[in-house]
Amino acid sequence: MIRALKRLGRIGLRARLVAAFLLVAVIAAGTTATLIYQEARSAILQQAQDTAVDQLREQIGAQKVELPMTRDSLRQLSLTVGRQGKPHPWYVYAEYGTLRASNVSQPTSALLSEDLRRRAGANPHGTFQRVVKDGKPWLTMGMPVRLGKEGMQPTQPSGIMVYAVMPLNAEEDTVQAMVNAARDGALPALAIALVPALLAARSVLRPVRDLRRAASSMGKGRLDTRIEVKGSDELADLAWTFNESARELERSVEELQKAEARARRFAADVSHELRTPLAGMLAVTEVLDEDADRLDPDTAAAVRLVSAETGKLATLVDDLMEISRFDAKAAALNLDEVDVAETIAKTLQRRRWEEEVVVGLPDGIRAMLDPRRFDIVVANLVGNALRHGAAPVRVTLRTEELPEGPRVVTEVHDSGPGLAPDVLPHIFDRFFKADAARTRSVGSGLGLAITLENVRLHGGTVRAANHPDGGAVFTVVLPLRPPVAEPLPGEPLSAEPVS
Amino acid sequence: MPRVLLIEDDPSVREGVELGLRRRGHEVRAAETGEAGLAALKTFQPELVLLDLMLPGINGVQVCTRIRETSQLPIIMLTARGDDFDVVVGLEAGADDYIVKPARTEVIEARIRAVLRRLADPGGRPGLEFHGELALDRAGLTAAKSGERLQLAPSELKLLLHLAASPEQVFSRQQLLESVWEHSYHGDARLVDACVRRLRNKIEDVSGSPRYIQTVRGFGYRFGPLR
Amino acid sequence: MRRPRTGVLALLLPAVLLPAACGVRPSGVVEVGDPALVQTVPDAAHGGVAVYLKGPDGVLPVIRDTEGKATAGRAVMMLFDGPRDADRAAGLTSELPSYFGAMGMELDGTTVRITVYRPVRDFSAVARQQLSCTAAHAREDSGAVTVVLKGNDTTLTLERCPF
Repeated sequence: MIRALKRLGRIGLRARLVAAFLLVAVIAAGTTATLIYQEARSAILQQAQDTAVDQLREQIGAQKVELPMTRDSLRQLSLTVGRQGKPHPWYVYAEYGTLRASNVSQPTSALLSEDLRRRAGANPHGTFQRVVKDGKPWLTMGMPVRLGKEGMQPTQPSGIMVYAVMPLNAEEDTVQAMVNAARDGALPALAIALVPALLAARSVLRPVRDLRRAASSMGKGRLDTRIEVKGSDELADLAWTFNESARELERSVEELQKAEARARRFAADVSHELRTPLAGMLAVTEVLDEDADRLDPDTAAAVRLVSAETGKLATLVDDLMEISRFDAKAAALNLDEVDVAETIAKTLQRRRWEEEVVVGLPDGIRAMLDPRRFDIVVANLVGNALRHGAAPVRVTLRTEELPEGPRVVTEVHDSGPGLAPDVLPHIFDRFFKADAARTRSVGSGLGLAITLENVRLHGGTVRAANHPDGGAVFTVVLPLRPPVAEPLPGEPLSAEPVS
Repeated sequence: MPRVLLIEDDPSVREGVELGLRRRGHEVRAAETGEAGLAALKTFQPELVLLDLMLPGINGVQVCTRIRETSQLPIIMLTARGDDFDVVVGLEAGADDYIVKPARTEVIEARIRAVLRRLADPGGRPGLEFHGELALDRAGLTAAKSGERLQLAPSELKLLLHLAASPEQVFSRQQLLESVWEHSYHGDARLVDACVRRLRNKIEDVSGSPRYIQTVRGFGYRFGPLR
Repeated sequence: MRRPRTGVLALLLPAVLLPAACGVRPSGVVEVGDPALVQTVPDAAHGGVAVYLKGPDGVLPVIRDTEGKATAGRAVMMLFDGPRDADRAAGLTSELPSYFGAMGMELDGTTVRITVYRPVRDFSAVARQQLSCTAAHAREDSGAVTVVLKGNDTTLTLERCPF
């Protein structure tokens, strides 16, 4: 039962409203019909009963009897009385002492219950009882016959008892007809009840649907979604509340966006400002290095330290600037059609990594890439592989046809210990250092973050995993032709050389 | 070692670069503003200008344009990544190359050497080469069109000579970056595009359909073929 | 809306079927009004007297035709004559012993004195009632008559006839 109710709870609003209306209609119609029916049935039966009993009394009263009665006279009495059966023909059974007679072949009837006999005999009153046998209803009456005059008490028993049995088929039919009428009336009533139900449902569902659409639209990011407020009921209140909340949300989001923009701008400004002093410092690091030998050992060490750190600082600021540009969505893609194998080879050549890197670079794979950014990506991944993994590092290149389109896949696989499982999800995070013990590495901590942004800018993906043969493998998937995007002002859209 | 005119407003950068270059044997004159720099041109007679893009007063691009009005001096721009002025604007004004600040002195030096190199190193055959209306003198490092001497900046001349040395051979922009500018293969290809644009303005008859410096879609540039 | 429809129908069905289960229902025994009243033939005016015999449920009157002489004495004498064939056929008997001897009857106001020349002490209650009723109703149709029976052994004042 509980489960059925719970299942009902999951049914839609319209269905519930309709069900509720129909239930009300059913209960109302049912109750009314039942009450009316019961009253009508009582009235019908009472009419029949009263008529029958009165008639019996009257008919018997009209007789003059000889006492004692004989079987014949008893039978005659039955016949005479039975002839006048109202409202339907009677079966009359008369009893006198041990004599039994009737107006039919049987002198007695099984329909006359013990109760009736007892009560009829016990009191000087007429009695009746309704009996149903084999599905047919009967009215049984018991009328004791007394001697005396009307109105004069006491009367004396005559010893004669007259029973009458009358079929109630006609009444049953009438009652049944009423039931059918009620049932036939109920169904159209229910059908009609559907109309207000559906109307009510619609008046509730439409605003609900509007609300759902609005919520969905807001969910998709359109924070300026508003609902039309119609009427002044609870749904209107809800719509109004929604609008208020949406307004607040829009405002908050704007605030947050502004705050974020401010923060990004600050980071960009800071990096920007840092470059100027760094530019001067960096220009003279070689001077410091060259002349360090001429100083005393401590000063020499200090000077070399300053020189080295300045270099690292310059790299860090560079990376920060790069990241800021990504965050400000100011990073532009300068695409050119290149031979990917050649590009990767050049990257390795420039940093003199050819010895330590094993390549699988098939010719003829041309793609539209930003060569500078791609160089940075490859250099970062191979550099990491050599530094944190171990040689030999394998770099392979291939094309793949994916459901999103043709892709060029570059894999960098090192022979090191691989990546710890708790490190893996965070490896592309900014300033994340995989090895906590190694507090400082050569890089700024932004290398992989920049790689990720560069790859994303191309519309591609980069993933880190542990290779089944051991070691870490980084997979860069880039579109062969990047999706057409809006060109930034001043930037050429395609890589077509100027014509 | 070539004389270098440094036009840079930031004192630390100015001092640092000046110091570094001087250590390497260059004679360096530093100017704080564009105006001072332009004045120093006449008095100092440098062989190369290091020009900061962002200057107070007249900015680097304007200085570059002014210089180019009267001379084909090698100009290297100093830019900071994220500068408001697009590097391309500076290149279009006539700069031959650019360096991103902060940069080590050795990097600055390498650039200087690259820009100046071909000037001193003749491409090969003496005598004039004739291509259509163009007459190229590799030894004298001059070019003329229909008899009139062309005023080409060093990068423009080097590009023209490089392409014309192998007519109808297609060079990718990456290759040109490596060969002509000695940038890495992955350098900024806009350098090449800007130079091609400037070169075409000077040598092509009809800007819409270039004859000499032709684009090969998807591959790069080539010289000719002249029809 | 498919599943909800069956749910709704399930609610409707009993409501529709319920009245169909009804119809004319049987009832208990109901008392309704007075019993039937009949006249006997011959009535008192035409010489009919009531003689009270014993029936299955108590004392019952049977009507004897006195051929005009409808007196109390005649009624009592007819009672002492005992039940006839017709009476017996109907299962009626008498607990009064047959008596064909002399009988005296005196009417004294509302008292009827009957004298018989045999013992009366062993007359049963039913027999006495028969006698009482017969005498009372022969005299008057109401029952406000006292009957005194004098026999050989004793004199009994009989109980009033219940009707």
